[in-house]
Amino acid sequence: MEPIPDTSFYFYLGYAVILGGMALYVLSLFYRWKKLRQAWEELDELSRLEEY
Amino acid sequence: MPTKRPLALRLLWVLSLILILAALAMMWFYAPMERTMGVVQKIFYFHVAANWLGMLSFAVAAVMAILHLATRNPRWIHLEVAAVEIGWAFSLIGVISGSIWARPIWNTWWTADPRLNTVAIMVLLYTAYLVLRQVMEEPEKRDRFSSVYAIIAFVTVPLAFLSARLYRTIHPTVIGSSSSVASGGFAMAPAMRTTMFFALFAFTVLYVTLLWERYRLEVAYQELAKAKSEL
Repeated sequence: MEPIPDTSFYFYLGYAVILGGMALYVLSLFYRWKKLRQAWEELDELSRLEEY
Repeated sequence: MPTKRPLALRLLWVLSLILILAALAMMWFYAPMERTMGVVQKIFYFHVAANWLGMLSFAVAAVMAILHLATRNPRWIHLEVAAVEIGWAFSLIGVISGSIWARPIWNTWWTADPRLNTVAIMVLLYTAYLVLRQVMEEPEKRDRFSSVYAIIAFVTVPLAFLSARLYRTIHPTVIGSSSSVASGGFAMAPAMRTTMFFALFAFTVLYVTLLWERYRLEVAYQELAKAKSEL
């Protein structure tokens, strides 16, 4: 019986890309929420200044 | 200001995380090792699931595009944009992971093959969708254009899916009959099949979560743009 080939490098590389890519996308969503909240705060500040 | 994340969405995030971790554990501990390819074959479970999520998302985007063109309700365009972005990200993950799997099996990262080429065209077309939305300024025209584009671009999805079944391709088909020149195909043991379907289920739950989250973000962007224009 032939031995099972050692392809573990490509296995780890593949899962690093898959899980890393998924994590990156999820993090990008939360980062965009953070930037959006900052933009709202700046807008609130601006409207307060305008009222003043 | 953006509203607080609903409880159901928070629970979906937790459930998605648990399911993805369970799918990883099944891939690692439960699914058997394939003898000719070795451990790299285990990329299959998440590679297929990522591509499934991508194609499902493009189909959802096409339906949302039709609804948007028919009703002009902004809800549908927000969902369409969310679906295209998620589909694009996961299709790209599918393409890159497939290329990594191909390297030790086909001895090349990429080859001119009907399946590989149609998937690459699909990803490039949806990349153009995202770029075009960024450069078009007039909102109404942009939304109308992107809905028409999402419907036309969807043609590439069934083409990419069926390419491994219709043409002479070295890309294997694990469900249904494979081409005679397919390379890297394997007979699925029951445990492999169970793991694959569990991974597909986990990614589908993750998709619902991501779509809801991205939709909320899109709505919040539009509300901010409206508030800015009113100031």
